[in-house]
Amino acid sequence: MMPKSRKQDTVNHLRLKAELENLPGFLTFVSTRAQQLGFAEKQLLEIELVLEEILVNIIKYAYSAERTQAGWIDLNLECKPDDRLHLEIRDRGAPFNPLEQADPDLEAGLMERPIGGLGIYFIKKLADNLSWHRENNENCLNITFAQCHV
Amino acid sequence: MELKELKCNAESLTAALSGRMDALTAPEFTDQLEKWIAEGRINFTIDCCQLDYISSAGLRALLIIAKKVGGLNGKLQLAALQESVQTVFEISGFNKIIPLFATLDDAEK
Repeated sequence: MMPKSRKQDTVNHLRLKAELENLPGFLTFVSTRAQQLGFAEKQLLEIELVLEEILVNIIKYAYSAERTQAGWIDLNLECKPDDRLHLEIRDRGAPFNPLEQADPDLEAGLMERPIGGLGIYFIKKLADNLSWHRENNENCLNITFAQCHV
Repeated sequence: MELKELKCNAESLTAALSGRMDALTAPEFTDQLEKWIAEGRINFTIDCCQLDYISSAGLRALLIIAKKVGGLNGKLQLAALQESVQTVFEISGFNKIIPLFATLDDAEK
């Protein structure tokens, strides 16, 4: 069933400082590959959204307590033979498992609605597969996106 | 991201928002709206037909402003959201707390 040319996985790696100005660099890197893989425009925007939320979280919180200088973010990208896109995102900041965070109250009215807490909800909602583990003092987040063919 | 004033009278202002509203650009939106609020505007209609992308940072900026003008008995409403932006509003439940209109005309009726 699997086309021969796709059998071999391609792996890519990008390492940049955990700084807001590096956000476009990560986003372009991933969306270019996702586009090559055949993801449709709507899904590309969802992938960018998930990625932005993960990275901004790391940039804002992972290294804030222990260092004055930003640490690194490592992003490994893998195109699976079945056209799924797999991302592994690593940082050496404080242990943080986004999957354990409570969902925001989506029914709260305007004035009661707390500011923030939505980013992690988007990650959980839009990724097809999401897992977290701690390894060698690193947070390691694995995310998979499957292509939906409509 | 670009935010352009289209028209304004007394307490109301209509503006067009275009491009990407993300963690890098959302603070520009908040700054501009704060400026308009300081000038006495409290009712805002934002035309989003050219807004291509919004993340939680963008929603956060909208929520801050909506609460602020809500406290002043004003309102923040959006018009003509693109499908992908509309989806983000629905997932977050923001479609229930910020008035959305299909077109700018509908919003200004």
